[in-house]
Amino acid sequence: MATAQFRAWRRFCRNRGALVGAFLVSMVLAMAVLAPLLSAHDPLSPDFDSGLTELGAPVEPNFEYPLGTDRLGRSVWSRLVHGAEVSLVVGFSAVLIAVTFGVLIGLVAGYAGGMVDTLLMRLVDMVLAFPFLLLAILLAALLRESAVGDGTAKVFITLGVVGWTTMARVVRGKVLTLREMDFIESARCVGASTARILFRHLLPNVLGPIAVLATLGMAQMILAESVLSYLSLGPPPPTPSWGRMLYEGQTYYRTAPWLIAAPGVAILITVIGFNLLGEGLRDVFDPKDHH
Amino acid sequence: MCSIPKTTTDRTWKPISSRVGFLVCVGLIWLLACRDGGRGPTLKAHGHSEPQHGGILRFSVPTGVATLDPAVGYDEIAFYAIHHVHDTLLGHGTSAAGQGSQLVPQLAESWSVSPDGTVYSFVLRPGLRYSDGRPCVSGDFKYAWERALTLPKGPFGQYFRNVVGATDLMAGKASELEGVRVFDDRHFEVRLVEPDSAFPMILAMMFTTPMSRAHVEEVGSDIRRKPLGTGPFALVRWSEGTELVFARNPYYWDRPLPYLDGMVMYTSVPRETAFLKFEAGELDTVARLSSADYLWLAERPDWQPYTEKVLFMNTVGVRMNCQRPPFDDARVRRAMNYAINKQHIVKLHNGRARIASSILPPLMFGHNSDLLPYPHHPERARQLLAEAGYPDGFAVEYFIFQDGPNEQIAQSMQVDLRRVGVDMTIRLVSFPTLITAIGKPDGSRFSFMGWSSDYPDPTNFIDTNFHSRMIADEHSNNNTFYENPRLDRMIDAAKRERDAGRRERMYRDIDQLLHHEAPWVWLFHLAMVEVKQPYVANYKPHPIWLRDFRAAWLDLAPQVLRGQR
Amino acid sequence: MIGYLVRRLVWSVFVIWFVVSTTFAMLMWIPAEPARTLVGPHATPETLARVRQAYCLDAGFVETYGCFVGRMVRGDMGESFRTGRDVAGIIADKIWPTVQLALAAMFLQLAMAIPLGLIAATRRNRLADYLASGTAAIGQSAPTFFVGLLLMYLCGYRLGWFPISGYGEGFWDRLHHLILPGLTLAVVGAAYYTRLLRSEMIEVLTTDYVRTARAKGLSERMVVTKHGLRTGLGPVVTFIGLDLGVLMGGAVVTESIFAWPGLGREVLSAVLNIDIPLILGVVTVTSLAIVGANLVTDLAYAWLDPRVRLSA
Repeated sequence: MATAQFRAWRRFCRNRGALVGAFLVSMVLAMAVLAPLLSAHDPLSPDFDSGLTELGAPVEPNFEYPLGTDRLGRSVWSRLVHGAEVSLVVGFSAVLIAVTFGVLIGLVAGYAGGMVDTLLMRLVDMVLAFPFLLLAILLAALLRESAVGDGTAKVFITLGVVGWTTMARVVRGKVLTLREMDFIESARCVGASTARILFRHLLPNVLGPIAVLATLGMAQMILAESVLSYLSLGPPPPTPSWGRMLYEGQTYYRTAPWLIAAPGVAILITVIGFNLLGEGLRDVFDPKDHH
Repeated sequence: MCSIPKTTTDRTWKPISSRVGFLVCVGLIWLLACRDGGRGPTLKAHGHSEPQHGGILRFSVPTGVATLDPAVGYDEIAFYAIHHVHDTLLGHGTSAAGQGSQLVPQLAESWSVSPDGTVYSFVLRPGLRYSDGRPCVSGDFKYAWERALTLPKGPFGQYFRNVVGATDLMAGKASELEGVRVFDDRHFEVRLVEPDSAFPMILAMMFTTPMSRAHVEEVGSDIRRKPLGTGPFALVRWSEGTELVFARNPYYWDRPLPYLDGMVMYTSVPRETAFLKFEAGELDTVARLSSADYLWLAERPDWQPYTEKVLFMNTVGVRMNCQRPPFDDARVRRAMNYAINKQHIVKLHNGRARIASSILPPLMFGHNSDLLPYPHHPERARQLLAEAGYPDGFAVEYFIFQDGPNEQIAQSMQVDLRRVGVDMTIRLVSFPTLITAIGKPDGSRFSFMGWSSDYPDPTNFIDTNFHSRMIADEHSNNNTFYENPRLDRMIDAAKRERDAGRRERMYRDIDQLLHHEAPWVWLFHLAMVEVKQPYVANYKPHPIWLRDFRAAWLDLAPQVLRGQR
Repeated sequence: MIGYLVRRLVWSVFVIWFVVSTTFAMLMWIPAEPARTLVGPHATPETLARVRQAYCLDAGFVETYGCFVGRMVRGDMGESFRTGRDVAGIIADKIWPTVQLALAAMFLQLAMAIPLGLIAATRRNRLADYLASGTAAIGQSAPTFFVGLLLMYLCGYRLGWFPISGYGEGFWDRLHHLILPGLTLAVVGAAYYTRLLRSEMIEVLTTDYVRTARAKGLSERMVVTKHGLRTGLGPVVTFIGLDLGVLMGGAVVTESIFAWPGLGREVLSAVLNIDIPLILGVVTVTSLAIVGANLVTDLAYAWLDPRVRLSA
């Protein structure tokens, strides 16, 4: 086991894409964690005096505000840096929900087979009968109207509930292959309970694909959250979500282009990071000879 | 083993592709970094002194048009189209002073009121015709009004409640509107239950426009896209989602208007895009500029002579539910007024707003100009809150609907309120949800509220919003649930008062009472800014309809005008 | 084969019914008053009550369900609350622009992906590969609205090469208006296909028969195009059919930015206005399209590979 892990680690270190991805992701993580230290201004406090011009226009990047200000005179740099936490938290929570659902359903469907499998996969088909984004928009818009729960929670719940299907399919596929293997057979002979087989024997062997999909899922969820925020269906104001920053700043593309460039590039870099990392992990766990 | 031969293209590809890549990057950076100067007004006025006939005027609106049926259309955008196609008995003309509006006869040649104020008699202009040539007669008014009152989807019945027989008609107990008596094609009268000085204003509302029964029955449910009216223009074509095309009504009563040959109204064009198109010369006027566009414009003095700013009839504020704590205490409501910094809000609107002191807008009859707005005074706010029993403040949800400026204002308010100990969270919902939540006594306690007039009379602002009889359990029109018998008496008396001078004083008193009682946080009145091309002549935003092109003309060379057909 | 077809059809109908019913349930659950969309904020409670009755909003859940969903089964999608226009008409109007956009996006995706993928595969691990793959990685990670705003500003406003927004009239004008929104939608797909094509091509280019072709002395270009491309494109073509869902999702944002009068933009405004008949109508049509596309693809597979038929 040790050598396999060592080999995997070596493969990872040799994969340029994975390294770049890991670097970018850790940068964003550092930004999120160190946010209070990195910015002098409160991301939620408007500054009507030095943050806006006479007429109320956002201020250009200057010494006090390195990336300028937004429409309310808040520091863009500060909001950018605090926005990292929002993206990561929402992405992570959404992925957590999706993984939980997906893995459970995949495990059960793959192992049980027969009617249960068919039924569950039909359920997957039904959720997939709808474009992910449209379903997310519909659900987010409707959840927004109701009084239940915190605004940000509604967002990642929406994304999680809509996005578990790929995970379920992949896990089920893997379980189908593993099911017939010797070690599962022997576990059954010994009389292990289904739950034990599922969680102690099958689950550890599916961790590879789960990790890959979870990482790629982070990228997808962060992207989806930014789209929802752009449509004003994301975390409620004044949360400094990057997508929301784009929504608020988009009309200023001529007078204050930094309002669009900064959050746009931030989203881009974060998503690239997770995508590269995810693909790197995929190469690590399931290497195809490319070299 | 065979070696794979490298072809000649291989060797040259690498340097070429890297050079190309480098150039592309440089180009992109240059494009992004260089500020663009914008386009100043490019097309000039020709310089005619007399109005020229001809030409097509193009403008756009940010949403779609729901319906062109005057008995149903209730939003501003629908009105832009409807009021160009339909005229009413009385209309809103620009007042002599140049500000505000006054009632002028439109389809009515003359009218008079009986001494007791309950009977209005009208004489129609001779030879009135619809845009297809058929005559417009008194009976058409009665038909249109009965239709507006009995249409299931029609929201305007309430405005005619004071007309004799209206309530019976709406309840299905009568088959005609008894209070309207038609004498002949040009003479008819309307009888009211009680005198109401604001009634003439109601006759300037779009739903009172006459309609031809034959036409309505012919087109059936298609009436929403096939209007027939007595207004300056007729609808020629409506490509839903794209544009509405109007042509001059050759039978229009107010000759020589309209000067234009036609108009095109592009729908669903986002505001920013509209401004770009305007700069490129594809639109003749643009209104409701976004903050960014307005700032852009402010830096370009070239455009100043063609920019019009009109303070129109609206008031924006934060409504509070006066029957639920903590807003059942007037001190708390006043504290909110002191706590919120309204200068900041005006700055968020780039100066296109005026701070409000009470409910009536500055150009409205009855506005109390002696009232000063609540100043920004956090200490006073905290003091009042402590007096009312909330020394540590309280928590509240602020309901707004999705709209850029609203969301900005909310975030500014949040900070102001936090300073006095009020923990305000923003609840962003859709418009229908907002309206439902504020109409229920157990719904939203604290929410955005704006009111723009259906007609420019103080009753429209005050009666509907603050009279206690307008309180209902659901969808209450009086959504502050403010109940004050003294105010009720003042409102009823003002409504009955026939003497203009006394009436004005009564409304000033009401304005002052509402200022002090503060069922709303009085925020601001919004000004509308419209920019036009240099060659658009005789056009200013209308105080009620905002965009009214009936008297506008295009100052272009004759061949250009002809070429626009 | 017939049995399989029937089974899949029945299942498809069930899926569509489920999607529509769930949407309806969600719509009923929210606290907004849809009648407000019909009559506006100034209407009185009496008007609202009257409207609620006339538009079937007054009854219990089952009755309302029968009213809205039941009549759809009979072919009547009702009228939009916001405009009063019949829903079927609205959808029929808006679907063609979205289809045009989707087709343009698909075309542009391939037009960009094939050359880029080829370059990346044939110049593997050299600068050209890094540039192409790098661009693809960026394209796959860029939010659609960011790309759209960027394109609109650069190519529409600054350079003036393309119209800033709108639909255009006439064949060439329409094409002209189609480019920017089409490109915006195409970026993500193009990036994805580029990388897919690259990895497929790389695999193929190392197989025996390609080696043989090279050994026979054929020029590199001939080898790549004739043998490699044909095989490498296989998986790419498969995914085109399933791309519809992604495109529809991306269309919502793209159509809003470029004022493109399509179904995506219509869905967004319907959802934000809680326009129940319109939402139900669009949901039905969309799921019909997607389920239909899936059905066709599945049937194609089944026809080609008998094993699939038997196990389904």
